[in-house]
Amino acid sequence: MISTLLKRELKVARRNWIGLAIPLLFFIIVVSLFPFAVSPEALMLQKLAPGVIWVAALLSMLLSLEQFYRSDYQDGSLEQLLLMSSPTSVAISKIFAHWLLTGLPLVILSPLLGLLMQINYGFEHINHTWVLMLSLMLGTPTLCLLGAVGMSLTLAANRNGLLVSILIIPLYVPVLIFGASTVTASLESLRYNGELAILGAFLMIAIVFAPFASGRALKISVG
Amino acid sequence: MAKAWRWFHQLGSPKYLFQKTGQWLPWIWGVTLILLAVGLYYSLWASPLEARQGQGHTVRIMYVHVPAAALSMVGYIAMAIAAIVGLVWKMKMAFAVVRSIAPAGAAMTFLALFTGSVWGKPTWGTWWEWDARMTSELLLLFLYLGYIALHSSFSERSKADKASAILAIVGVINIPIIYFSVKWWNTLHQGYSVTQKGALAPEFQVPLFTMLAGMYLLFAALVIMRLRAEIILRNQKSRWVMEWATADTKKVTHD
Amino acid sequence: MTSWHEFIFMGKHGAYVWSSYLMTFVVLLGLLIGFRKMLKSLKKQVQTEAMAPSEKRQKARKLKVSQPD
Repeated sequence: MISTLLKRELKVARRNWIGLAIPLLFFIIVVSLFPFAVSPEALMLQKLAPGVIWVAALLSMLLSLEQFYRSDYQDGSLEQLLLMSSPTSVAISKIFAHWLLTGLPLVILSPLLGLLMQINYGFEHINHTWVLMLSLMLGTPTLCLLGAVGMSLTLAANRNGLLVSILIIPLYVPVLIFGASTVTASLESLRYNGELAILGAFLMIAIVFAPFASGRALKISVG
Repeated sequence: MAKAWRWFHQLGSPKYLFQKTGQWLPWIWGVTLILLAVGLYYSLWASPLEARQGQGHTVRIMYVHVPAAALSMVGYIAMAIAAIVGLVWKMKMAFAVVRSIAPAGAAMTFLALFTGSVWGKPTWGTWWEWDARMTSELLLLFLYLGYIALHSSFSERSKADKASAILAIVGVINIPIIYFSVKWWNTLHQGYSVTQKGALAPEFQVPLFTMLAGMYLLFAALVIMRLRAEIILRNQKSRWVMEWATADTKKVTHD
Repeated sequence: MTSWHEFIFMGKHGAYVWSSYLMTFVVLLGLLIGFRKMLKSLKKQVQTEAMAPSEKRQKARKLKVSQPD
């Protein structure tokens, strides 16, 4: 059931591939603003890199949420989906599609941004790029799961766009803290497996609660 | 037990809840005012200075700061409990309760931040410290404001109630996670615990616990007032609301 | 507390202590007044609606009370 739903999501997304590219472009552009605003000095950029890359990733995840839910809600296909299958499985397929088409590309793009932010400057034997990718790999699914809850709640609201950001950003803070500090720990040559473990724990908690909550919220929005 | 259950069901009736809260309110206000009068007397006049940490008179800020901070947390937890009751038992009045707690809870969160900041200036030498408590309190304020913003964004009240109830529950799961994350993130956190034995000398306990009790009741009174307005707002078309609203005007014309 | 002077100035920290208490008072009083007003205006609204002849009810119902938050 979920695989059919997922296939549908991917099919719909393929028709709107530019819409999917925009958040990724945003990700790169936001990060490239920092050298202009702060300083192009390598050590300074390196210090800022974990936070800047993580905040940019978080914002582009938020930006990309709308297109996975809004049009389906507006043209009534969400209602059809909810009639055919359980709300939780609809939520799971949407969350998974969102991560596959936004979260995963962010992870793949992140080495480029690490490069721009001089993440390996001065290190000859250690490559921090892998740590950055790993932290995003574990963190972005949690962002998708939480974002799905917020998005499903605001579908029927009169205001859209910024409302979901206001609801969800406070919930993103723990992921941001541990995601960025994984990379910071690595930059300071400290052990970072504890941070990664906590990111994994957040993911597990979110996997247990978020699809159910998002499904309930979709049902409320449509009903 | 059966009696308690029946009472719980009766509270689900808007008319009953409105009447009962109307009867309770004067008593709650009476006790609140007495407690606050005694509490203020102790906290502003009769309690001694703090000498051990050299805080002097600024310790008096604690007597409003701690109750405000406690109520900001308790308020959000109460919202989540009422939200669960509303969603599980489909009790409409529970949603009215959730909505009524939000403004008072947000106000308490703001006050906790304000008094914490004013306390911080003479104690730590800065208006704002990114420590665990202050930062979680700030995020809690965003959660409250998010709830209010979400609830006011729907044209259908039942959708607004249910969607924002889910948000309240998701938020309450996140509060401990946020708190411990922020605490881990900044271990500069200054512990000032009330419940720990020996942490607080008895001469500070009297004003603190009186103010705590007074502020709890004041909070309850404010929530009840907002709830009464909410009940009327939601039942404008009911016969009993019409009767309630016109009761005193009729009396005037008859006399 | 030994004197009125000390009560007002709180040993150099008067501004801090009093601003905390004043802000608490103002915010909570503001909520209190706001909620009272809300209930009163709702009551008035229901009243005018009940008094109005039935054909006017439809119009009166459209009046909405503003919610203080």
